[in-house]
Amino acid sequence: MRRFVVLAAVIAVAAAAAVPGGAQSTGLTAAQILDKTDEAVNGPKDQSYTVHLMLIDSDGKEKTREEIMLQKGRDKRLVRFESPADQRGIAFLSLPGDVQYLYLPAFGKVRRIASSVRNTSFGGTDFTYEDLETTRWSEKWNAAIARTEEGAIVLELTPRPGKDSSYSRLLIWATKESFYPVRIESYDKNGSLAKILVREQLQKVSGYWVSMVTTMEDVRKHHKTRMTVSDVTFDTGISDDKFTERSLSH
Amino acid sequence: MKISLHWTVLLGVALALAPASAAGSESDSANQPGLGIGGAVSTDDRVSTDSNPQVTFQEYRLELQADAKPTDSARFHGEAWIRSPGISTSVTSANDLFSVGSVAPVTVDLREAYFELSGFLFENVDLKIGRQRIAWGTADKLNPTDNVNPLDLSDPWDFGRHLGSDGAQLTVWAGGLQITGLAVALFTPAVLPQGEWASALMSTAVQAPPGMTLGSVSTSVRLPGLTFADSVTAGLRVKGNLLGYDLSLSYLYGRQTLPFIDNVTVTPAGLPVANVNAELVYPREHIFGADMAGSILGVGVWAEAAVFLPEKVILTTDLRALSMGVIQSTALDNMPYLKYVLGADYSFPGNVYLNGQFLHGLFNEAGAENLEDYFSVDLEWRLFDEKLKLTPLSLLVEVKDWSDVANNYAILAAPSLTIHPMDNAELVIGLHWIQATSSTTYGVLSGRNEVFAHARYSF
Repeated sequence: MRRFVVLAAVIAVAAAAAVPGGAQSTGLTAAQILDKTDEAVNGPKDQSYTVHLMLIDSDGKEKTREEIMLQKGRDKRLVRFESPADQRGIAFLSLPGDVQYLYLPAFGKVRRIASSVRNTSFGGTDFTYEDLETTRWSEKWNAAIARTEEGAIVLELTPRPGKDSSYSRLLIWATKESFYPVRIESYDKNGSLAKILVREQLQKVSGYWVSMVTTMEDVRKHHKTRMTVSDVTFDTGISDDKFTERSLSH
Repeated sequence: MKISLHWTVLLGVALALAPASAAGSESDSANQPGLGIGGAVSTDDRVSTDSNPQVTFQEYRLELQADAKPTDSARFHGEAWIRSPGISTSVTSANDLFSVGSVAPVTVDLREAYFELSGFLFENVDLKIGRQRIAWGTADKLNPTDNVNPLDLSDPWDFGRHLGSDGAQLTVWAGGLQITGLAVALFTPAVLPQGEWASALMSTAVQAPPGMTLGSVSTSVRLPGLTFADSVTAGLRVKGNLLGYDLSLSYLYGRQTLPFIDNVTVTPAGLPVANVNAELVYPREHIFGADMAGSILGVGVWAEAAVFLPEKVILTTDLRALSMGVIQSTALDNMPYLKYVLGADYSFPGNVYLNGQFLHGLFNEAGAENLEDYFSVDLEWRLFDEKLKLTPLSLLVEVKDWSDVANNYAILAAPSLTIHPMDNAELVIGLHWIQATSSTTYGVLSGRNEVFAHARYSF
């Protein structure tokens, strides 16, 4: 684990050296930083990757999942489970306007799912459907600079009026070099820390930052989901047709 | 053999007609997983809860699935179930004891076997040919518009199970609409439930004439002829989105897949015993359907309705052998009738899921005067990182007469506990509990309670 952290730090430092400019010298507002953070995450026109998920419970027992993820722009995402066998073929489509569909092969049809499902676990992972949404933070959240740390600016996000979330606030650590969010703390409606997301092993692929290893921890359940990505591609011209009911069931 | 040749020819034609998209682009082909084999092994055991417990249902099943995706635009899928019913009714004589097929019968059931071409002739056209499940409707399991495939009632507690149908489905995706046309060449009747479930769900119970007792009962089935005109099922469905809601309209020309009696011949077998021969038929019907699904304030909502226009079925009872003439009555009127479902679901924090539906007309009911009202409620609670799923409520409630509910209700409950000890494994234990007044559909099953255990491992 220690070796892993050191490696991640080395990669991050190496990556930072390649990025010109930085927040500390720009005097950006919190809203501008959040815009850049949005851009760092959602910059590519499209992206695809294979995701290897490891679910680790409080006793350290591990389960694995594998899924294919496609994203276009900021508001279209398709996730399809490849394993384990009892989840193979299950697919989830997120579209603009809170429209979400689930395809369950056993029933042979695409099912529209209600937005109430947003705060429930996706496929047994520590990610909720809301966590998988592709909405820009700046559209749902107001930002303030909480503090500045070495190498990162910590933004505090609170929901914009009229915007619904299962979280009362988020703390986002955006690197000063690239504004890429490397740590996100999500707080529940009671203000208690609910989840911690940590992005490690940042790499630049086709000009975009990507975290090769992301860990989401449910603090209350002492349960973690570690997500390792591979086969990462950006801007390959993924068709809009991939983000339709037609594609979901194929 | 004839059918397989038929499909082989169609497959060849379809592949030949598939354009470049079927061959796949370079980037597409890189994503192809090739041939995938999977499936599951499952067991179902049920035992009655009365003072002398007996096995009421048993099924051990091997499900095999094969998928091939040679290109991004072509897919082949097959699924077969190899089933052992456990309770054998095939051993009736000593000779049967020499046959494995009688002592330990096994059935092979081809659930699906189809190929699918995306971008068939045109970029926005999909073709799916073969044995397939065509599931219409937005309601949960109990769908009045889901009538393409015949019902499979071999497990009466598995509401919504259907057989696959041998046919072709062409879907055009245009302007946000999904337009599907389908044709199923041959009629396949439903698989009927066993034992008392048949009495409960079927309208084909045979009775002796007044003052007589029933002797032997024989039945004959008049299946539709093999001509296209007699046997075909054809339909059209248009699905789209309006103001954030998914909407669809459908039309289906087919047949009732549950039989009706249209001819009864009664012959004396030494008074007062009468033997009865009944003929079963499957009347034609037109079905106009509509459904919607969406979300209101975070609550998932759906509605689904179907208007049935059936062919009239006259029941002719021939009592001439008893010198009582011929009596005719209407078994199914040709007046339109409406079945519908209204439903909603909500996911609460803490992995609690609630689903409720109101239904007018269940899958086994036909004719305006025979439709009953039902409620279904399901409450699930996933616990311990989803290692456990508690289903305290899984109810179907029938109300036959709203003015006297106390004497006209039925409750079917199936509370259960599901355990996921490891990935791919599932163990379910629970109770099937039926309380019903005699006037209701499920009256004959009242008190036929059973505990059940289900195990499943996917691979």
